[in-house]
Amino acid sequence: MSISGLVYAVRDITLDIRKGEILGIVGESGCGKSMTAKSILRLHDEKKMEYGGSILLDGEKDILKMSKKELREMRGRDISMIFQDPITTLNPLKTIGKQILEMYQLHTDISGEEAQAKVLELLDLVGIVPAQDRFRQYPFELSGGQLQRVCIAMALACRPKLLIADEPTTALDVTMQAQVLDLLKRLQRKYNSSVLLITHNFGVVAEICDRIAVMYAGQIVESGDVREIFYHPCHPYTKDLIASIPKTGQHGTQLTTIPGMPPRLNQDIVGCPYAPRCTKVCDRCRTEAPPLKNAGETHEYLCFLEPDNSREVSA
Amino acid sequence: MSEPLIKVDHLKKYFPVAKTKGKFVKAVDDVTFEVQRGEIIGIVGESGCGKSTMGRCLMKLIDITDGSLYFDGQDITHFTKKEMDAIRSKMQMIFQNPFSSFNPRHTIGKSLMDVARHYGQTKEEAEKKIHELVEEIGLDQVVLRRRPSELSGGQLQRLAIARALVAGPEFILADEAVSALDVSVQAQILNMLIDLRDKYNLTMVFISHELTVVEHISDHVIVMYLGAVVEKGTSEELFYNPMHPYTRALLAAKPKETPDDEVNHELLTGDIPSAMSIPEGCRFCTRCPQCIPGKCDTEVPELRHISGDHYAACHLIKT
Ligand SMILES: Nc1ncnc2c1ncn2[C@@H]1O[C@H](COP(=O)(O)OP(=O)(O)OP(=O)(O)O)[C@@H](O)[C@H]1O
Ligand SMILES: [Mg+2]
Repeated sequence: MSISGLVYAVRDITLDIRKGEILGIVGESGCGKSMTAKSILRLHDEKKMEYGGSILLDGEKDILKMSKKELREMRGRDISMIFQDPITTLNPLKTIGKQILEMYQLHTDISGEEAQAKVLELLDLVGIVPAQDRFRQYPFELSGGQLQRVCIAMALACRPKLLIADEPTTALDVTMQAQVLDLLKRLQRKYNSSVLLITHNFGVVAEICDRIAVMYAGQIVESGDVREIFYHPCHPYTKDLIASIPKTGQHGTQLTTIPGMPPRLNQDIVGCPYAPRCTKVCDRCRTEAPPLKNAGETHEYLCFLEPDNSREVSA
Repeated sequence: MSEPLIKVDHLKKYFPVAKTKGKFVKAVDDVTFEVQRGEIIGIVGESGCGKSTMGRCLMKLIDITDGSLYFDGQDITHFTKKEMDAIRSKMQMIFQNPFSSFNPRHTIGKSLMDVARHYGQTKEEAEKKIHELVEEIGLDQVVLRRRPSELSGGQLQRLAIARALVAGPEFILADEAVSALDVSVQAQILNMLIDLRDKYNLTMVFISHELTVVEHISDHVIVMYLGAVVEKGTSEELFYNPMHPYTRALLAAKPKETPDDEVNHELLTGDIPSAMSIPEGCRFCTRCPQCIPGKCDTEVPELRHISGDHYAACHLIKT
């Protein structure tokens, strides 16, 4: 998938999300994580953005070629999304029950009492209980964590093939985060949905993801099985990110930092985009685009360094 | 031990509930602790437990309902706004959203200058101080000519710290100061705060719901639940030997650091009760897995000494 236009937000990305897996996209803010997610649902203003390439659903239907009507039907039914701030998703003037019900009826033929029963079941499933009472409550009557669970219920109402979750727990405290992650994982297993989870929190990734894609300057610079990335990162950027996380048992120690900032997304880039900040930089990194290398069956990265040079066992 | 810089004594902050007479949100309910000079003390707890309200009381941004607050040996509980202005330069704050610390229409240089002038520095003094601080936080002097919209969140958060330091404070309150930042930037800010503390012997209260961050930066930690302190101790005592069932539950909710970490997420069930109707007895009893009916739901446990600096308020703990 590639996008060009006013902002070169996402530069030539190839990403597979497999059936029934949770794929995490990590990287600093401004690296294009949310852009990528929104592209999949074509949520950008298409007067300002141009897409190129293809986004295939089930390996056949190209989302980029869909008509407006097809898109509307696809959103919510095949692919749905939850955001960082549940308040932005929910209508403050409608009861939460009604909102889930509408979502459900938009994509199914079920109506009346049967549909209502389904919604109650969903509320129950996400722990918003007693569902009968909660059904009639308005968003302002619920806490942030409860609202996020309502959004999950809504997003999963039609058992989508893919759920995109953009920083779903960033606004929550640790106990709520744990509850929401636990819920996400349980439901994903139950429905065998795929999940694309966008986060800058490596703890969240360690907790529930099967695979990780690390984004930098609009590119995926490394991807692989979650354990590969955590224990054998190959790209210097991935290593630096992991090193900068405070770890338990290291009170007061100096944390590793990454100097400088990611490039702006509309900046032209020659060579490797990470070169100006990379501690392992060499001359060709500044002029030549780095190649995609394999470091194992499921593990790829964009760098001149050989896997063995950079393969260090962390943890 | 020398006199603490801050002493909080049975402090309470109750907010009246609109339309309901005699009903209160007990946001901070009888909290006592001290902060020694040069120490960083962390406050943790779930959303709504009263961390920010506690912070706003410390800064005297809101009136204190009951109890006392001492700063540098002085009882400031009932200080008027004018009296506070006189010591304001010694107490400064850093917030979660760095964008809100600066006027969007002014250059950073002007914003910092205004603060310095407000605290009575001459133009020359202020310029020198600002120059030094910008250097100190590792930014180029050109940022002074920029407006907030032209800077990144990380740069702005550093400048917010510089802004807090312009007045030459002794005490800094950081309320979720790194929560909105990327890990790479968060690491820079945490390193910087620790360096600045060492250099200026600053005293800090660091509020955050991110436990690992608090463990990293704090010497002492306070755990709050529904407005009250349920446990406090050194970072080590608290994170390696948590005694209160609530602290344990909170730590159990922490996400893994790497995929193969062994963790036992015994998730807290139920939602935190409303601060308007705090449970009888131990306020945690409605969610506590070890609640003893007839005791925990009737008797309020006191914050008792366990060992060293370690205190907890729980009937189950034998001392
Ligand atoms: N001005 C106010 N009027 C009434 N109630 C208030 C006011 N400010 C805070 N509260 C209530 O006091 C309690 C404590 O809130 P506070 O903001 O201190 O929590 P917190 O621990 O900082 O939470 P968070 O982690 O979400 O920032 C909450 O129940 C809140 O609704
Ligand atoms: Mg707060």
